[in-house]
Amino acid sequence: MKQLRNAFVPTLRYAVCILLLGLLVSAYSVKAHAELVQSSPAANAVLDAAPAEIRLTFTEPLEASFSQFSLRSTDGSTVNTPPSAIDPDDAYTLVMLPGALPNGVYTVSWRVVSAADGHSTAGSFPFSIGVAIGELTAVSDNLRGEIRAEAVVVRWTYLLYISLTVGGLGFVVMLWLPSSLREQVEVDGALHKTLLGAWVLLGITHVLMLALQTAISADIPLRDTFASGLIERLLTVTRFGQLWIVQLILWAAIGVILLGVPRLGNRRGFYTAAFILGVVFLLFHSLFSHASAADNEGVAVAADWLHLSATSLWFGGLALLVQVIIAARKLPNRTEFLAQLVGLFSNYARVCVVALILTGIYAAWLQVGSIDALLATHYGRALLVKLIMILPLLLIGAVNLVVTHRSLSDGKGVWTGRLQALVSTEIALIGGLIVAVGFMTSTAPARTAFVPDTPAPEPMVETASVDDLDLRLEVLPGVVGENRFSLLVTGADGLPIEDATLIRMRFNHQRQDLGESELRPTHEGAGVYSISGANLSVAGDWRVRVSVQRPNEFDAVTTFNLTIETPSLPETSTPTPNVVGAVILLLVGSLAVAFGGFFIARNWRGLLHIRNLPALSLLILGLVMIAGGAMSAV
Amino acid sequence: MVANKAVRFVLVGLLLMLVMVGVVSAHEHRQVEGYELVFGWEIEPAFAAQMNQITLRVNAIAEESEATEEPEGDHVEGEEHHEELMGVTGAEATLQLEVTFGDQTRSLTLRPAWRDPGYYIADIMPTRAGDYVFHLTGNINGVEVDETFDSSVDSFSTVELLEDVQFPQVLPSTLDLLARIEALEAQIAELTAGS
Repeated sequence: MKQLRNAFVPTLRYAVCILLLGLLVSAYSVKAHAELVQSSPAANAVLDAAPAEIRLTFTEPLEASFSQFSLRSTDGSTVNTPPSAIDPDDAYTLVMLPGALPNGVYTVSWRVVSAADGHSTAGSFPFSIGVAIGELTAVSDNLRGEIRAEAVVVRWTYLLYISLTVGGLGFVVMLWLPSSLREQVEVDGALHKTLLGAWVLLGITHVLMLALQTAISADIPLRDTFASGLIERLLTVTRFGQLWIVQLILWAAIGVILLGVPRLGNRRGFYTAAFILGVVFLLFHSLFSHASAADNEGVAVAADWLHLSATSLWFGGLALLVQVIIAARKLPNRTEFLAQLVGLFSNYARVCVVALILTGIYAAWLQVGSIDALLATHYGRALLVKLIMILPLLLIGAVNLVVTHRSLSDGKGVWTGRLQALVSTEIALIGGLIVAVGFMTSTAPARTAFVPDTPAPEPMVETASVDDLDLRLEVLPGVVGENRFSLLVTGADGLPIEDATLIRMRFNHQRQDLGESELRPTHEGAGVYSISGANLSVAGDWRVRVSVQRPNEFDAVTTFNLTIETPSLPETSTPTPNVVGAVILLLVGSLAVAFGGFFIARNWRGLLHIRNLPALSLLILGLVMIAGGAMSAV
Repeated sequence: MVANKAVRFVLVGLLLMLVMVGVVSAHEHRQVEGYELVFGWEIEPAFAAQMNQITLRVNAIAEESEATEEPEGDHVEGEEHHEELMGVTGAEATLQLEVTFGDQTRSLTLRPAWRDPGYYIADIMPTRAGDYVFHLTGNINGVEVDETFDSSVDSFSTVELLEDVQFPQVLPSTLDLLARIEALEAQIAELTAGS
């Protein structure tokens, strides 16, 4: 058995390293949040005839079963068309062959689910066939700010039990079993029960995660998911489903090992195997996260994986540590015992905290990108809460490392109770911190969701004089699409004309035969007559013929010539500049290498000991970040 | 040979369609107790300061019913309705047409078109762009007529600015020239008074 263990444990150690490197090479290639980037016909287009096909292209691959669009007529009813489908040659594009459509105005209403991170987005835009577009709403997104409370709760509990299971196993494997302290106190059984309980709860929340993703994908309440019959579809045809099944197998394998451990002689070897399976479980969680939708997905997923692993080791380690502390309080030499225990845990936790901070800095830059995005978005604010909660955690860690450890070493018994209180506080704080993480994973990353404030657009202003009237036409924003038309009518004396009985604005494109469309603004007061409309539906030169009718006066007719341009697309996300990205990667990577190397050097004799796994992972991640940064810079 | 005939037939058909569309596309159709009125400009779109005509077609709607009988089966006996339009002559004597623009109103004289029974025209040169309102009163064979046609509401053309079709140079309108002359006269009068 000893020979088997000697052969098995190093193999597992290297397997983890190889798996980590393999991940970095083969991570899924996916992009950003699923936003509409192109459509045919374009928004506000005026067509002469029904389009042969309608194509909507998004920024990331779509889940075929949960992404679709439909056509709505002006009365809001859904037009009877064949369903839309993913283009077989392009997973980013939805296509519909609408067939014969009568002349009229249509609204394309879309809702898609990202295959990268499972988030849903929706929006709509109008186009018309044979007629000019009247008053319609512009393109809109309406799911960006939406957060399901149930999603936060489910994700929080899920992350909690992931951390407890994997982190608890890490504590047992890397700290408790190799320690001689284990022989002084009988706590193995209690620790094992905690691990089993965490494993069971992880299984329950894993099923809840499946239900949650079904609810998000199908846009139905969580309680309806099991009766909807959609879960099977989600499992069989979506990327989430495939990853979920792999995680379920890993979870089952961990359970088999945990249930078998009491009857197995080589506890450490089997706990190690369960721990490694748990770490791989975390990897599959990271593969379906915001990180998997980043541009530099290999590094991002690896960093997210290490971040999650470090959180798990810290939180799960603390949860089991407090059990050992409670058991140790009965020992006659408890201060000495706890001094050694705190020393060991501090060494272990130090690596986790450094990994957390470094990967957290990288993730913050990747997913937030700017102070404005940090302050203005749900994601950014949740991150702020998380950062605020980390500060007392670091303070408590420092107190334990310096004061508690020294006081216990000096034999001050009062610190045993204080230690228990401090560790319990840490656990509560991390539990709260994971709520913030659950919130963050339930909403769009700040970089995607943040729409920078732009100065109010200047209206296009044209003036004309006709007969005894002065006309001032304001068109806001003065680009293709929905505009606000305001006509100020003043008399020769400069006073506003309030008694116009009818004002007509007739729109004609000067190059294309789009037909004439008309708006009749209404009196707003102070000589201003206003109305909104999408009559300027394509770019180019437009003639706006304005006539003003007044009682007992001749009509005043004049022409305004407007040159209309296509609006620049709203900047929905701060672009990721390569130079800044390269600097961040090089900087954080260098720090990761430095700290990882430092922690390994401290335990140089046991270089390949599993205790060095977090430090080794940090070192490898640092090297990958440096390589990624160098490549980005080039 | 047959193909050539077919092509000619199609071309003639298309031409007829175009002509018919041109005639009726921007005119207002009304029905008044058994009569159809078709109202509009002779030249559409109408332009300010260009000679034009108001056209009015008056048709009597003769409704013919033919009893049809299905030879077999469960079909119910029914009637097929045919509407036959016949131009009404002599309406120029019983109908009056007025045009209103702003605060000004004047009568127009309807006269029958040559060799087109039921078709009436009234000469007018709209001097300003804008929406014109026409008021048709009187009777047709004893049937009272009181109809208003408004280019801002109905389907005939608003009078457009002449600059829309002027080429290569847009000329000032007579009204513009008149305004400039008046301004110059005022200046001359001022200068004369000063000297």
